Amino acid sequence: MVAAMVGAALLAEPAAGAAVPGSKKGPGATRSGPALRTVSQSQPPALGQLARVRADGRLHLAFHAKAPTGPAEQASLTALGATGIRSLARVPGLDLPGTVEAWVPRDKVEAAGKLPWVASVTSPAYAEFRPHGGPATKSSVGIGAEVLHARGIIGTGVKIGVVSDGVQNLLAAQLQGELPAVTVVNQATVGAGTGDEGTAMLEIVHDMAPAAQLFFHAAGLPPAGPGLPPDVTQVTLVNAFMALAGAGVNVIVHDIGFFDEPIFQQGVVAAVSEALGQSGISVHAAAGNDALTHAARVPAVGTGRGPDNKPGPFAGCPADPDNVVAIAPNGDTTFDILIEPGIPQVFALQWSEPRAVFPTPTRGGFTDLDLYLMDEGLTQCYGVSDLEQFDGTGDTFEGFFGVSPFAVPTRAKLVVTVFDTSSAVAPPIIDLRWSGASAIDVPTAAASIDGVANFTSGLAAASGAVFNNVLEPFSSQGPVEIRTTTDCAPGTVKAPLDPCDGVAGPATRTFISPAWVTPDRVPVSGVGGFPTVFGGTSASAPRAAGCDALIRQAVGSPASPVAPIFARLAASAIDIAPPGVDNGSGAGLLNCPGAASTAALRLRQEPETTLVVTGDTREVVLEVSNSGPDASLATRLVDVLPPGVRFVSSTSGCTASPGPGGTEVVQCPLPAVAPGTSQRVSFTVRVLPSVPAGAVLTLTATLTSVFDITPADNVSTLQITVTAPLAATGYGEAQYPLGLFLLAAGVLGTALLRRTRTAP
Amino acid sequence: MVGGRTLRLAILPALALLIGAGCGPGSETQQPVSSQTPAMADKRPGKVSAALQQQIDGKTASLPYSGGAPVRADGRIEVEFHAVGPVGPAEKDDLRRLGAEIVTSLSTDAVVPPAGVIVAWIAPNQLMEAAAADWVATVKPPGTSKSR
Repeated sequence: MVAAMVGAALLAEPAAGAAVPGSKKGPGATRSGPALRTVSQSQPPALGQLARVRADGRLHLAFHAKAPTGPAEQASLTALGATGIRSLARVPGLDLPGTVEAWVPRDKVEAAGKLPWVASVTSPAYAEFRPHGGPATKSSVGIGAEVLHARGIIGTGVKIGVVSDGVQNLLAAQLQGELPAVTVVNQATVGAGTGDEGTAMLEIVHDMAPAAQLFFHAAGLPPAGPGLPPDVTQVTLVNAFMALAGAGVNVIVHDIGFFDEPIFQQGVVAAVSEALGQSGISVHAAAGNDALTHAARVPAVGTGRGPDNKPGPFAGCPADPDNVVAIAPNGDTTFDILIEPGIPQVFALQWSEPRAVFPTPTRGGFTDLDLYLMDEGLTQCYGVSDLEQFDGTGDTFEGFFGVSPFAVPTRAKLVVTVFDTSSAVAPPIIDLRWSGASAIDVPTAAASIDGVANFTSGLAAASGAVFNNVLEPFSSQGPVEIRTTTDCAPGTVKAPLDPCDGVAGPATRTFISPAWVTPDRVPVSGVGGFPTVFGGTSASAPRAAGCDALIRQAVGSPASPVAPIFARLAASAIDIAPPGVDNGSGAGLLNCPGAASTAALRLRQEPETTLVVTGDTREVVLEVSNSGPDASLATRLVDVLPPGVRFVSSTSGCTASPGPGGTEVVQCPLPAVAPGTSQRVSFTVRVLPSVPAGAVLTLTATLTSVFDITPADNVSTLQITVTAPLAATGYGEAQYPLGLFLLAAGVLGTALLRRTRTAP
Repeated sequence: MVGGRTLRLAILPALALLIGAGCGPGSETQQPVSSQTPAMADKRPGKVSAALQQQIDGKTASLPYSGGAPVRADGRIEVEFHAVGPVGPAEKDDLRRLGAEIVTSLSTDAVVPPAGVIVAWIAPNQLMEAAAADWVATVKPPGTSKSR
């Protein structure tokens, strides 16, 4: 994309009075595909993307090499009369193709472009250099990546793909030393996108995992013509995922959301994300920044009245809203907002009935809801969306967009009306959100997470944003709610537009989201005019992706399945308020060193065999030792008591609950086990008097830790041989029956034999 | 398809009466239904979203905000054809025969149910015929993206 843009810039240069020789076949054009030229011509290049021309006619150009460059490459340019030669600094340990910038005489540009080491020729990216922290002090700080870097864990062997709007000034970031080589997938057909949010995301990923191999794919296609925006749809986003998967990436991070991605169902973006997760590719999505631009989810119950009880008529409305829903707090039937001037606004309404797109393309809505944007005085409509829904047909989405026509911030009101209910069995729940306008009525963060993050399997993850360990107020929150209030009968096979009678949908499923949080407000280079401090969940997700890459290297498996990586990330996350796993911060603040912990745990239950008189108690001791390099975290210790054995008490905090088949499940908290040490917990059990003598009962203890690399020795059994009560002699002495004596001797013999066999 | 729509139109008044009398399906939990205008009879779901239809008809042109599709200089609009299942060359050819230009498509059986979407530029006067194809479930404007 950079090459293409400069190609256009070079072509545009003659208009400024400095002609380029062979302008229709300039150096940028000679090595750019036709698709890219189309892209470049559709967008007027920014001033910073034009090649500079000196008074002596020399052009300032960047020569991109196929391999690292050195004195020989510089000499070949000198031989052509080039001056002011400087090369891109090499980054130790990184395979970075060289770039040489030089002032080249106009009549030598073509010859320079044909030098054998030159892959492409562009204008240097004249980025605005702004103060910011160097790579070592930036994104890696806050979630402990630098701790892993010091241990040599830098993402080696891991491939990370970023999907965002664009990397137009990628080269500028590379020249600043912020980025190594980046493979722009499908650059010839899709381009490098628009803007530099992708560049900023790549910088964060690189800071987190400096040895990871980086890939980028634009989220959308170039604009189809002048005045049109880039073509970013769910289809282009999913295709970007697929292309990156085809390029062999292990981790994908993206920051694209859609107002019309199904919010009460799992749409195609979320579904494909989880499908990739099943195939071993982690997908990290930005949770979204909608918490302050989202209304509370309420049932769409019509009040039978107009907005704020005004009956109308209203100018510009195709039909007057006369059965409005109380969508704002305290029964308020209008949600007041402040429209910001001069920027785009989008307003979107969905509700908990089938969408007529994936995953229910042949079904649709039952309740016909309409969305209105009206003036503050409720005299006219600024926008109306009144799609039809009836008896399981029609898409359950209402939305409109536009650029504010107002010169100053302007108050307006959102209104939702119930037009019809057809055969709906219950009022659906609505989800109303917008952008480009601030809420005057109280917004609701709950369930504001974007539909592209409607994850249900734990094999893809959304990242929220924190600053100073406090959740950013805009960071979208969960839960993910898969809800269908009314549906066609299960198993109904219907064609599109075939109606059905509504029946109650399946039980609602909710999932905690986001998965975790990382700090935003990340310093980045700011190339291409992008802010030098990157805020929002778009800046958080790349940190999670980078952490993911580090863990993959730490466990020695860049192509690891997703589940164990995510288990480590979640189990080691540091909880932030409110306590516990919650829908604001998920598992908490990512803790990369914790997630990379490697413990070698062993569980032993003491004793391994014992005799217990029926009805008596016995202390059970569980010992966990750690011979690994790191402390164990988040261990789960469970002992299953067979029928006939009951938990009595514990001084270690163990608790019991009923298990299947008359068993009892004892769970014990286990403090972190430092390397080279062990921890013990204990509890007391009783053998029920009903258990006959001679019975052998087995207690099975299991230790689970996502950080344990030696799970084979995490199960330990205790065999209790039950004996009869002692018989009274009348003289205060116990008389042991011969059978018991023989049994005890047998048990003792067995124990001695075991020790003999295991002795070194 | 057409039969289904006709049937629905025929039963609509009866349904409305039932619901209005509190005897309709789920009437105990339903919200009140507004008194409908004659326009209600025209307000029927179709494969082509009403936003597109209104855009073609120019009904919302006077409002600052609308839900229409991008329009190219040659008058074509960009729309998404959401299919009942995966799509392939046959579905694309259906659209091309109507003069549509395919932008991109998605067809995958990696998700349940298998999904298919075609994004295309098409002349507005060909939209209804394109939508009538059996494989088309919904025709809507492309989704509005937001980077975060």
